[in-house]
This record gives sequence, structure tokens and C-alpha cells, in this order.
Amino acid sequence: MQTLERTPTTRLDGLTLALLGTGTLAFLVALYFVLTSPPEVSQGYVYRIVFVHISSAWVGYLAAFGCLAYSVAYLVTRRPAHDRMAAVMAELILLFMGLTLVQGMLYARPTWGVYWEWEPRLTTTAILFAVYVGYFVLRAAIEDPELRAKAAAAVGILGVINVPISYMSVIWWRSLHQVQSFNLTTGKSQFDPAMLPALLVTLAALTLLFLGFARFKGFLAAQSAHQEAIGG
Amino acid sequence: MDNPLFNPANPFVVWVYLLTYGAVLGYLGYLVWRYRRRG
Repeated sequence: MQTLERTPTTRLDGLTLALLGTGTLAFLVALYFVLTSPPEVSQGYVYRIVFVHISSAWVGYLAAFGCLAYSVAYLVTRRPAHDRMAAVMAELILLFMGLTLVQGMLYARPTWGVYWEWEPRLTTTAILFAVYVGYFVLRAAIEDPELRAKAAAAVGILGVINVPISYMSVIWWRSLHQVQSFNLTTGKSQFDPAMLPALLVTLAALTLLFLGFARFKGFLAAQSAHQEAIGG
Repeated sequence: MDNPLFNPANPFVVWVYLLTYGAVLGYLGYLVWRYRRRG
């Protein structure tokens, strides 16, 4: 049984517009900081790729935890809105983890000499991406909305296990990929203070945009669900 | 400098930024298009 939902509002709320506006502005300002950041001692200007690479990966991980939270919330409350938001989060994982993978390949070619290497960080990130592709394949394959939501929630919960594995892989299995630029377990930073503004502004911009995207897409998904429910 | 890593216009950096800004702002454009298109 599905619960009856309230009629969604027809206009975007101020918070969503503020997140999207400040996020877009910060994303454009970030370019200035990137273009004025100094070259790294061994990787030169190619090092500038890390600013968007780290930020995209951070947002991808954040979206995976968001998908986990909404999947658990769905299983507890059985509210379709939570299932919709879990799917929104999974879509954002594909956007940002997909970007992370492509940025990483374009970073690897000039620094490692190859686009791809089956080393632990790259492999676990590719698996993470594949799991959420599977999430949508599963959703498309099940017609019953309740069964679809339950099965998707299971994938949303199990899929996040790969996030800490991917994050810690550079320490657990030392290989080609450099260690974390910010180590969340020790609080140490690999960055020279002159490089920090470009990273922090990009990180803040993509985090704001991620929150704005989640609210915007959630709003559109609620509207679509309402249209379907009234037979429009 | 001859080292391509020290070229500020290194094509790998340019492609990464074009791709990232294109994808993120493109996704925003897609959401706005969906918003305007809804009945």
C-alpha cells in the first residue's frame, strides 16, 4: 500500500533558488582561483585537474550517503517521496562519479602515461559507478512500484559499502593513485596554502550545486509523480 | 618551458575543465528545461 501524498507546490522554493544561484556563481568564481593557482613542483599546471577531481569525488560520495539515508528512510516509512529522493541521489552519483572517472583518466594520461590502470582506487570507483548504473537497470526492470522501491532501497544501502573501501583503498593497498589530499582520518592536508583557495571554492561550489540539484530534481520528480497519480 | 606538464594550456587540463563545466552547467540547463516544459 502507498501512502497518500500532499499536492506538491508548483513553484521552486527560495532555498533551492539560493543554492543554485550561489552555487553557480561560486562555480564561476572558482575558475578565477584555478587559473591563478601556482604550478605544482613536479606536475606543473596539470595539477589543476585535482581541484575539480577531488570536488566531484567528494560530491559523488556525499550523494551515495544521501542515497543510503533516503533508502533507509523509505524502508522505515514506506513514503514514495523517500524512494524518489533516493533515485535523485543515485542520478547525482552517476553524474559526479562519472565526471570523477573521466577527469581521473584525463589526469592519469599525462602523469602516469596511461588512461586507465586496474589499480585499487580506480577499480573500486568503477565498481561504485557500476553499482548505481545497476540501480537504474533494476528500477527499469520492475513494474510494481512498491517492489521496485524496496529492491532499489536494498541496492542504495548495500552500494554505499563501497564508498569507505574506495576512500581508504589508497592507504590499504598502496598503488599508483596518490593518497588522499585531505585525510579525514588524520586531518592532514597535502596542499600548499597557495593552492587551497582554488580547491575550497570549487569544493564549496559543487557542494552547493549538488544540494540545489537534489532539491530541484526532487521537486520535478514530485511534480511528475503527482501528474501520474491524477492521470495527467 | 618544454615540459608539457608546465604548459598552462595543457590540453588535458583544458578538456577536463570544459567537460566538468559543460556537464554541471548542462545538467542545470536540463533541469531548467524540464521545469519550463512541465504542463
